[in-house]
Amino acid sequence: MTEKTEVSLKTVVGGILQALREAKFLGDRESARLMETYRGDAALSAFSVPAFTISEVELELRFAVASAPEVRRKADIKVRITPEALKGLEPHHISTLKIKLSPVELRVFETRELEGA
Amino acid sequence: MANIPAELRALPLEHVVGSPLVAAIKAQALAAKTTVDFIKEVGLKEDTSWTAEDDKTGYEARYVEFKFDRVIEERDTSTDPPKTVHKVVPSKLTVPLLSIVPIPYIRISDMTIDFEYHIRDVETSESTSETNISTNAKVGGWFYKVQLKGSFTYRTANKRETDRRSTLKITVNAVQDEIPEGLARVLDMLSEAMKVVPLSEGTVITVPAGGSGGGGSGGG
Repeated sequence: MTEKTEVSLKTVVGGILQALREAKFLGDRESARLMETYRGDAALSAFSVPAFTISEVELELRFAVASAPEVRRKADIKVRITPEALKGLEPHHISTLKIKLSPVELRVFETRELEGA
Repeated sequence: MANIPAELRALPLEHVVGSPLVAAIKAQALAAKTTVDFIKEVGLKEDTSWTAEDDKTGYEARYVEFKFDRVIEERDTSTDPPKTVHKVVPSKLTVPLLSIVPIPYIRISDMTIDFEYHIRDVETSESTSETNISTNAKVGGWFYKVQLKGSFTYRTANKRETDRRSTLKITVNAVQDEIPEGLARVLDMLSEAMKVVPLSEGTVITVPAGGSGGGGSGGG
């Protein structure tokens, strides 16, 4: 039971980032769908298709450290995050991780072969 | 488990964040549609004398007419020296309705989603991939697919009841946006169609010396 409630911290944080990316994808997909609708409507075609970006995300993750990492084995911090696992713990046993996220614009690189090289 | 309300069941985090985002996009599209409907209903009227492309209904701009007294200055050259004559000319102003009413075009400027999310379950699925490159070289890779499932309305206090307050708070700020360029051009053209037509010759009035600036000169 304890093993099941323990999870790697990097998995949790990675999962949150993944969820945000997929949330953005849901929004983009809706914008793309609307683009077709706008294109097909003479009046709406004059308007810009609504699209949003997630400008900033602030999150606070509360967890209890279950096992410390072993440096030699590159083990990850195992934490407990479910409400049941945190219930009954002393406040000083619960850690808080605050993360502030903002989107990064991807750069486009041209992989052009050097002529004459 | 079967008795747990739908909103308390495991809910992927991406949907908690993504759904308000999709809702905002749909709301914005709805606002644009409302603007189009406003233009059609307030500023235009159907004109059956012609049909637009694709056999769609033709529209005609709706005009409003105002009658008003216009005070104009005229140079009377029949006198020596010429003098300025002021006339009140009853006139009619014909103006396209769209050019004088503000067109509502609301844009969602920003949205804040504030919620408390309890992670109930972390599903990790690991997959590996192999890709053959040219001859015998192999590149192996792996990645995790993590899905966080939770509930954002879960809050109990030793009782079997759910506190639904302050669960998901969404703050939406909307502003009046600049109208699209195409519509702005249409409005410019409509504004040019404004015209003032004099209804009669008008009557000459005498303006008191010192100009027509007016100003209260109430005696005491």
